[in-house]
Parts: sequence; C-alpha cells; structure tokens
Amino acid sequence: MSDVRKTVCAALVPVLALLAAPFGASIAGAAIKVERVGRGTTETVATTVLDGRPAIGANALARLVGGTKYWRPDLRKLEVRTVRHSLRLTVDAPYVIVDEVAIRLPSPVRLVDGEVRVPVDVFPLALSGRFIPRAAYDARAGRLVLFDQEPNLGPPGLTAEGPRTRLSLPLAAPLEPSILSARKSRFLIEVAGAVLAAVPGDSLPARGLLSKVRFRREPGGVVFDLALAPEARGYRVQVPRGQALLELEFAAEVPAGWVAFAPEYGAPPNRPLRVLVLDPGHGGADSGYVAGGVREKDLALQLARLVRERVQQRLPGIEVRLTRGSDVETGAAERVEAANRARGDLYLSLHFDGVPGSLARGVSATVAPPLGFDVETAFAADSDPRRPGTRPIALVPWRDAAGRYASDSRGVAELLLAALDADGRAPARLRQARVLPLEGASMPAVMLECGMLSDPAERAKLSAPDGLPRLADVIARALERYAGGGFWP
Amino acid sequence: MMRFLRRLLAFLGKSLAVIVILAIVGGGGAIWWFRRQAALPPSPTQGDVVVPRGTRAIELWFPDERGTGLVLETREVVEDAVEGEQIVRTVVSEYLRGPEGAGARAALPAGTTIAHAYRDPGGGLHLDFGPDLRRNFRGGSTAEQLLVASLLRTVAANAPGVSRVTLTAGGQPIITLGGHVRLDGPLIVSEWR
Repeated sequence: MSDVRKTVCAALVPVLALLAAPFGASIAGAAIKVERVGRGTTETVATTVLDGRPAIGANALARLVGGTKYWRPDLRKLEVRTVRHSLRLTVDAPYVIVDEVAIRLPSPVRLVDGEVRVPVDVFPLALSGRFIPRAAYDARAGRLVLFDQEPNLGPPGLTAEGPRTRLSLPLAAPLEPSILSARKSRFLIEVAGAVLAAVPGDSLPARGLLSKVRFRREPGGVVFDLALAPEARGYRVQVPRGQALLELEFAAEVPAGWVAFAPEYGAPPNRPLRVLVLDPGHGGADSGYVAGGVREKDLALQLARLVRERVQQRLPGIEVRLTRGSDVETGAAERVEAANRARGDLYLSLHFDGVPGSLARGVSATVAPPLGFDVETAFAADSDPRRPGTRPIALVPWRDAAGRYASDSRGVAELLLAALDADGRAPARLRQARVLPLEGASMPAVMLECGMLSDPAERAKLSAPDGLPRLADVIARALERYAGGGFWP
Repeated sequence: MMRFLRRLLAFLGKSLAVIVILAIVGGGGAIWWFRRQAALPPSPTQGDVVVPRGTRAIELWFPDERGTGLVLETREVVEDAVEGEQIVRTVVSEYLRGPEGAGARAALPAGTTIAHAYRDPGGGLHLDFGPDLRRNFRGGSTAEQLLVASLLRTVAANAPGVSRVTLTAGGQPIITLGGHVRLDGPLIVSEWR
C-alpha cells in the first residue's frame, strides 16, 4: 500500500509543475556575465530559468541596449525603443518583433513577478546587428558578449621566418599603438580604441621569438601582453605604408630602423641620474589633504628634506633639488619649469593621499600615459635630404611632454612601489594618467602618493616620530637602486 | 461493476484520497495566483497610465568603498522628453544623489547641485555645478581621479554621443579641485573609460 502511495505522490509533482508552467512558474537561474567590448566593462546580470531557458528581465535588457520601455497593460505588450529601432515583446508569445520583423525565440516571453522576461537568446537572435552591432551568447560559460562597436582590429596572425617573428593584425580603422613596456620579459602594447575581432581563447601558441602572446580587452582598447625569448635583440612596431595592417616584429638582430631592446637587470638606466628633483606637493594656502590635524603639505615637505638628506649620503655625486624649501604656494607649471631648467634626470612629486569616507589604504604612483608615437623615429624620416645631419624640431604639447618618458617613468614607479610594498605599505598601485604635478616634465617623472591619510592607522604610522624617516629610507634605497642597478628588481 | 469500484476504493485508501484532494485544491490555487500575477503590469509603470510613459534604466558609476575602482548601480527613471535631450540632466541629478546600495560612496561632496547641463551637437557636454563644489571638495589624487572617472563613465554609459565634458562651478572654470587633475579644459571621455 505504501509503495502505491509513493508512486501516486511522485506522479503528482510533475503534474502540478506542468499545470503551473504556462503561468510563468520559474526558478532563479545562475547570473550571467555581460561583457561590453568597446566600453571595456563587465557586469553580472541575474537571470531566471523559464521553460528550461535562462531569461533576462526587460529592465536589464532595455538598459543594455540603451532603450526606453513602454508598457501596454491592456495588450500585455512591452515595447523597447531606441532612436532607430524598436523591439516588441508580447507576454506568452514565443516570438519578438524587431523593426516590424517577427523573430522566433526558443521559448516564450513571460511575465514573472511583475516583470517581463525574455530568453537571453534574444540578443544573438534578434538584437545583434540592430540594437547592438554584434552580440554573442555562450550558454555553457554563462557569458553574454556585446560588441558596442564593430571589431576594428585582427584577428591576429603569427609567423616566424628565420631570425624574425611577426605578429600582424588587420586594421579596419586608423589606430595608434602605444608601447607601455619594452622589456623582453614583458612587452606590453596598448592599441587605444581597438575592438579586437573574436579570438578563440585569449592567447596564441608561442612561436619563434615570442614565448607568450596574450590579449586583454581593457577599457578604451586592447593590450597585447607578450614575452620574448632572450635572443631577441630588436623590435619594430609599424603600420606599413598603404597597408591596413598593424605589424609587431621582433628579430634576433637589430636591422636599420629597428629599436634595440634596452639593457635590463644589472645595467644602469638609459638616462644616468645626475640631477634629482624632489617636489613636495602643495604648500602655502594649499594645504592639500587634511585629516586629524595632519596636513599633506607639511608631511610632503618634511619627507622631501629627509629623502634629500639620505640620497646625498648614499649617492654623493647626485645633485638633489627641491621645488619648494619652505611652506610657500608654488604653481605646478612653475615647479616643472624649474626642474626642466635644472636639466633634471628624474622628477619625483611627493604627495599623501586621502579618500574620505572610504576604506582606502596603501600607496600609489602615477605616471603620464605614453604618446601615441615615438617622437624621435616619427620625425627622423622627415629630415631635409638637401641638408644632411639636420633634424626637424619635434613639437609636443605641454600637457603631453611627460608622455615622452612614459616607459622610463613606469620603470621608476614600479621600482618605488616594489620597495614600499616590501616595507609593508601595500596595496601599492600604479596608475597611468595625465596629472597636473607632472605636466610638462621633460624627464622621467612620477607622482608618488606615500600613504593614505584618510586611514587612521596609516595616518598614525606616518605621524609617529620614526614614520617619515623610515619612509625616506625606503625611497632613498629605491632611488639608489635606480641610479646604480637598473630598473627591474 | 460495484464490486470493482469497492475494490478500487479499498486500494487507494483514505490517505491517498486526502492527497488527491489537496493536490487539486493546491493546483487550483496556484493557477488562480499565477493568473492574478500575470494580470499585473510591470512594477516600473504601475498605476493607471492612459498614454504610455517611457521608462529607462540608467547606469550610474560610483567609487567603491575601498577607493580602488568604480561600481555600477542601475536606476529606473521616467523619460518624458525627446530621446537624448533631457536624459543627461536626469542622469547627473541621480548621480548627485549618491549610491543607494552598499559598497559604494558618493564621488561629489554632499549638497552639490547641478545648475546647467548643455549638450552641443558636436559631442560636447557642459556641466555647471553649484559654487559649493570647489569649496566642499576634500580628498587626494585618488578621490579626484575617481570623481572624474565615475562622472565621465556615467555620462558615457547613458549618453554615448558625448565625447568631451567641460566642468564649471558657479559659472566659473575650475582649474583643479584637489591639485592633481586639470579641469579647466574639456575632459576627453575616451581617456577616462
């Protein structure tokens, strides 16, 4: 008897589920990751499993396509409109109407908990090529990729012929590559504004001189993260005349017109450190960030004096200059001009950070972003053939001047951050941005935020009697390494 | 025949009859409830709306509480005006209200107001905030960079045609708020994404 009861009960469960299904019975589904290629953002969107398919809410759908929603309760229809397109969803209908064209869906549109829900498949089936240039849904990975722009770069091709290895990418738009790091162990190239065509995975197999080839879609573009074999000697990044192609070439020699890899660990920096300019941030009426009675301008000045003292002890041959020696207000341009006039080899702007009302901690370094081209090589080809030996003047806007030294600045910044991190001041972050204190610097330049004054523990540590001397020791040691031992620890 | 029915009833028993009755009542209740839910309009436009009013979700980006990046928050707003005309002002007003969710903080000082928002056809956007912005801003370079990044990303997410944003306070140019980010010229949206 009990067996019969169990059998009947088990049979009733699916019967009830079947009765409820047409009225929108749902179970919460796994969230999907929505990757916006072109905008460089990734977010998570909740889904509901309806009729066996993951369904997305109309609110999220309209937001992702930038549409406005119009609900007709009498007809149980929801219309999502953008300037050019319209999408009509009818509750319980297994299709949608896009710009007057009906497109069948694998399962019907449903109304659940007061919100219209539509299978995620609507993106590749109905919205791709209309509301969004391209959309792809990977059900297995739970990933929806929306291309806000048509791909304008790639797919990449990798060839190795003799001592040369070439990575070439077809261009569908005029794009400017920037070299972020030219180390053999980490060769980073950013192509701003690039939307990379679909590449299976995010890497290519190693070939020739390239031991690692990875791609990263980042906000504002694509970054190629490469690693080279030790025998690589030179590289060239170019867009050959008349060809819509970006070529990254590497060779075991340095042919004419190519760039030789800079010497790395153990060798001195490209530019010998003879004049170090320390810039204590803020001053005078500009106190900088103030928290708990501690003023940024005072700490920065004390720290600059301590660093000067220690650098002069450790490296007697180096001239150390301060952009302000007392509590006076000096403009950013005035400070940088003084450093340029002094023919400084390194400009270090010392600051202390603060993010009120947050849990922010740690140190950071900011360097200027690189120029979109190399000034020396870009103008070398344009010299006057009638006057051999002459070179045209390269004009770089004041705001971009520091960008000429972006690679060297990044090296110094990484060295300083590594030293501060090792001293227990983590997290240490490197940023690349145009900032006022570095504007116009005609030398490697770094803005160093040496601590977070909004964090009470860090503020107490920096205000302690040994706080700034210890910090100055760490910075001076890193500068000593830069002056004598090369960039990379 | 009667003998067969008596045998069937004996077979099912009293408890099984109770389960069947409960299933029928429960199933009927579920059908009634789902039909009632289905008849309700979606929450954003609840109420007696004669002429459909458009609603849209906007994206607001705020600095996270750890000061390391930005977090996304979405909000539903009614869009009455022509597409693209009013939305920038609505978005900036919502951005000034600050985040509603946990894990984020407002980038602009409390009490900051938007006086004017003007969008030119060439992709420029001019936002004039109240004069208190300059006086009330507190923060170092991270706070300043997060402010600009969150404002520009918010504008770019909701008004894709905007490529440059100029900020003023009380009608006057702002050279910088904390001494680290230059604000006296147009900010290029693509540089801050």
